[in-house]
Amino acid sequence: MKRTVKLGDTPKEWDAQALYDKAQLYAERMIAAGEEDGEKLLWSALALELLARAALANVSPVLLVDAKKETNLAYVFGLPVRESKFKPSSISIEQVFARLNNVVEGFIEQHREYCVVHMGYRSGELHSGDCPFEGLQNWEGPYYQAVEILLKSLGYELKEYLGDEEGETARKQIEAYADKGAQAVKKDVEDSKKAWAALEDAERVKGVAKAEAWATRDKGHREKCPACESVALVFGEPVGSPEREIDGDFITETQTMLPRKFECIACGLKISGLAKLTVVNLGAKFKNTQTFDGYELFAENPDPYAGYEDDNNEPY
Amino acid sequence: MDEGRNVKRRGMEIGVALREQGYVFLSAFRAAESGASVAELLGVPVALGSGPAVHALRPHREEDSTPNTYSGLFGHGSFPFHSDLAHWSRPPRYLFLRAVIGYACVPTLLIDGNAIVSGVGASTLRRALVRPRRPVKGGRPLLRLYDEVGSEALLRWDQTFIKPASGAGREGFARVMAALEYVEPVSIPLVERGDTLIINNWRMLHARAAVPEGCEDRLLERAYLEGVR
Repeated sequence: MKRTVKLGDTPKEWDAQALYDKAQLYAERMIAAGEEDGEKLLWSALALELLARAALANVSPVLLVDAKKETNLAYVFGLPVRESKFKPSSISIEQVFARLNNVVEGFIEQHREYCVVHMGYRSGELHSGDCPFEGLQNWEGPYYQAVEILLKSLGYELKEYLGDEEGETARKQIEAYADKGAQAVKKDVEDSKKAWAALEDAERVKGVAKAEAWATRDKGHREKCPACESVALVFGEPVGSPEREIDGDFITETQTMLPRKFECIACGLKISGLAKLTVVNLGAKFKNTQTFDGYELFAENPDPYAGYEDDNNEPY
Repeated sequence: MDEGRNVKRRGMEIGVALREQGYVFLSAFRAAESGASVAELLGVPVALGSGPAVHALRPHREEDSTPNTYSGLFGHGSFPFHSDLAHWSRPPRYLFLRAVIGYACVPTLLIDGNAIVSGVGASTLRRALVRPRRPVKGGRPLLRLYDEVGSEALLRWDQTFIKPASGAGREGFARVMAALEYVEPVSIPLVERGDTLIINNWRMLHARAAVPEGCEDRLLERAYLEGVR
């Protein structure tokens, strides 16, 4: 360009470092709350929200902006704002987690789901007579697992965020959580195996046939069930951009998928979450390939006379 | 050697000295010239606010000053070790001091911040959240005692103008205060007219010795430099 517009500084509301600094401050208050569970959890939720917003702002501060209000866009770029009594507004925390799921490597669906639930408890705590945080147990493992991923996206480690002692404790809690999940899924598989073995032969044959008919490639990724060995399906979430190949009029699109859940309709085994799927060797990425006509993708004005013969001024 | 190459060679020496020890002292440097012209020669002066880039520094008694200044807080007594404008999100990079009327008995004292960082621990200082004691441009942003700006490290310290903002901040603060008790400072008296001291304000802590009777007319020129040539 012959001339580029000089943008201003990112406002503090959406500055990644300012958000991260505040997240650390709230994390310290969470730690200082000690064994006061309700208070500790409330600070944990506040810290998580700020950390999540910091991680998203680190990709781009614009991702935090409520774009429904035009003035927010000028403000985030440090440009003059002409609106009187302007107050910047951000997207909701649920939207933050949804965007993180798309743009931050490693922040997968299970983390998004967990964080949204944790935020739900916070809303209940702050806006209702209920005390959803009281008595909540074993929250640290999945919480710190999500926190660690967000920290990594910012270039920080647990110890830098929480301090040496708490950082070490958090690491152990993450490992214990992963281990507990692993034990649970192994038990589920064993239970399903036993239940399958206890069925009559005819029932098993019927189950296998039903699974074969149901577990088609268009629905998900076919895998052998770890319990009954019937054909079952792994469902995933897309990671990265799809690759496209053009061959004449046809386009083949290959999308890499990260496993999210597994279902076998023969024995009824269901497994949810990448960590658990990995324990039973179902956690490997797979590819989802689709082929379609180029017109389906690019045509804005499909043939309004589709189904008729080719145009011909004079029919013959 | 012509003037241009002389300046270039001196610039390289200044750059090396600043990198290696965090400060450079130039004895009676171009004594006949003004501080403004020397500051322009050696670096890129920054005007803070609407006034000139170079200021005259004189000792003031407490009662003649205001509590938002070191003179207002410490008068003719010694100033504690600090980095300038530590309560700003981005303190000035270099501090330029030049004697107009100097005294050997009122030296500028320097402590290498790298020694503080080594002694206290970079991770402790990085986690140390602090805040300006008063609003700066309408806010009191969270700051860290030790941070990175691009590939450069920034150590900020001022026990008066910044305050701990959290437990980690209190710990960092306490550890720096303790470290300052045992680190040996370097004494740089600015005596002769033209004695010039450039300090890396992101690394070094500096202090002024007490001003004894008879030295009240001490006069230094001070500027902040964005960079050095």
